[in-house]
Amino acid sequence: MRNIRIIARFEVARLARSTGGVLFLALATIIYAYVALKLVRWAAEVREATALADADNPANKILTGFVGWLVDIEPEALTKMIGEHAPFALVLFFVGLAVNPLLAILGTADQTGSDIQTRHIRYLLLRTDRASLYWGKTLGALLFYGVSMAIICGLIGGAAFWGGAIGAGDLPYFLRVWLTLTLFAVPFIALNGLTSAMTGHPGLALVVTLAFYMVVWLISAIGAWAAPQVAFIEYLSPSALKFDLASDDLTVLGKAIGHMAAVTVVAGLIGSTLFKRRDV
Amino acid sequence: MANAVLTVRGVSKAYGTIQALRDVNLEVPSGGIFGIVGPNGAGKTTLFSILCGFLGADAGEVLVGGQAVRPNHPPPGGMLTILPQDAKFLPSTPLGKQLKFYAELAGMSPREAEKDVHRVLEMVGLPEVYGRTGGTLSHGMYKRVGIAQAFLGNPKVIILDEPTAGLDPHAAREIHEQLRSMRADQTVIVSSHNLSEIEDLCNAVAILKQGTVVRVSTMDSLLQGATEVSFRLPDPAPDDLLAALNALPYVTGARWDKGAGRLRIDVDVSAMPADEAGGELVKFFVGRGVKFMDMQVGANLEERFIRETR
Repeated sequence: MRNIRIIARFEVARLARSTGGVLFLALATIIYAYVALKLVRWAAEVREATALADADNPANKILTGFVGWLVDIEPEALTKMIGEHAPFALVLFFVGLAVNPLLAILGTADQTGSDIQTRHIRYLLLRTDRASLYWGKTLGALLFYGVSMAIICGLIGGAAFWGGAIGAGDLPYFLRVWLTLTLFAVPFIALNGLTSAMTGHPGLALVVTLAFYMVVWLISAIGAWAAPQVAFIEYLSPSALKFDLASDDLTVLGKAIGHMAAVTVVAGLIGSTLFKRRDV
Repeated sequence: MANAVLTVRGVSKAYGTIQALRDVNLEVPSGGIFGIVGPNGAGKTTLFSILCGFLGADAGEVLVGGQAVRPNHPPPGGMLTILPQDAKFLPSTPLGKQLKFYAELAGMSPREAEKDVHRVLEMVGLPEVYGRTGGTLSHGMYKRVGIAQAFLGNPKVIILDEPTAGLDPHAAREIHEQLRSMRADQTVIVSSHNLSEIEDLCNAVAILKQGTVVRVSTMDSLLQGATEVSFRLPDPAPDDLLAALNALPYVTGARWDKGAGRLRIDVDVSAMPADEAGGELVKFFVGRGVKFMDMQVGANLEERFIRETR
């Protein structure tokens, strides 16, 4: 455990200094800053839309129906969520859930990959065991992602609060947004750990994880038209139930968390086994 | 061997159809410097990688400090370190922080690790690189930082794969001095293509050829048993000199080795041991006014190496 802690701490600093880490931070900042700026500008309109949510307005039904289809949430449940949470925070949550897979894959793709590729790993393996190295790097990637998201959510939440887009009562919801986005990154970090150990190359690990994500999505989306049972392939992806993570229904939320945990455990076990056995 | 710090038993390793190591058996005694030499592709780096648990052997076993080493079972902590031939440091992290990280992983507290990093950087003459990244160093400096990391924590066994390759003579000499001044309980295993370096540094040597150990010997016994004395001359030996040498009672033959630029004299060791014959031959040359640059009793490591690996 001692070495896992030491490796995780070092890994946060390494990722923050790495080219991939800097690119991830830049991309995440641009995406969230863009969305936040748009939301601030639309804050007034969003407040009006919120008011409409309570009205039996056909336009509102079309709007919630469309957004509900996009995020795979029933219009009634979505209407309830809009009534209970600040629209600014809710939209940011949905945007976060939508872009989180890409950002998590980009930000944490290089776990053991570059160490194996450059053989830097040979400086480490005589001083620690492979399991500690693997899980230390996994934990480090999670900490790096969590800290990055904390800074982004904190900055956006603070700006929205001071700009009047949300009230003080909405700030705890930002905490939930941060926690959810960080935990939603866990299965992707596990997948990246697996592809890193499998390929021994940071770029290849990134490509293989992205390819897996896209192929599963394409097969399940296109295949479902031809044969509905093919849609179950979607559950191989950590994203299968991603918008359910925004649900206030504990049963729905628990199911989504359980699915993510299962993907994480499977990817983590395969990845750590591969890493323990491979030549470096 | 009772005091072996490292034992290799029947180790074989293949990469596809290429057999890199075949039934390698080796025991490295505790203390001193042990050389491993062999032509390119002889399997030296593969052997080191198996010793460290980076690669798994197809057959056989490796014991370091009495404990078996396999890919998921590294040597006991603090027992073994290596200067790998082609490993790189992280490009964006200051080297001092990287070395401190390694030292902490080896079990030191942050304070001890910091102190030890400064010690090893001083040792290789590079205290100023603590805050620099690997990309800002010359090849020689980079190599010396690699050597510094191998000495973190004073491990019992240190493997140095081509430690002076690419270093200028000054830097190489500093490394040699460091190795000679090591603690008596430390064992260094060195591979090098520079055979005079191995001959100069090592107490014992193993010669690898096509994945097989063809000879393991102490340096003394490798070079002893000599039946030859050779001299480096500024010009090829004239025929009259060769004839005069052949007439000496303890000489069985004298010839000019054009490739090596040496005069080689075979000695009848039943009449006179080779080292005594060397002294007589020096007197003989001085008496005849023959100039020579050096004298060598027996074959040097390079000559033995070429014979063994031909």
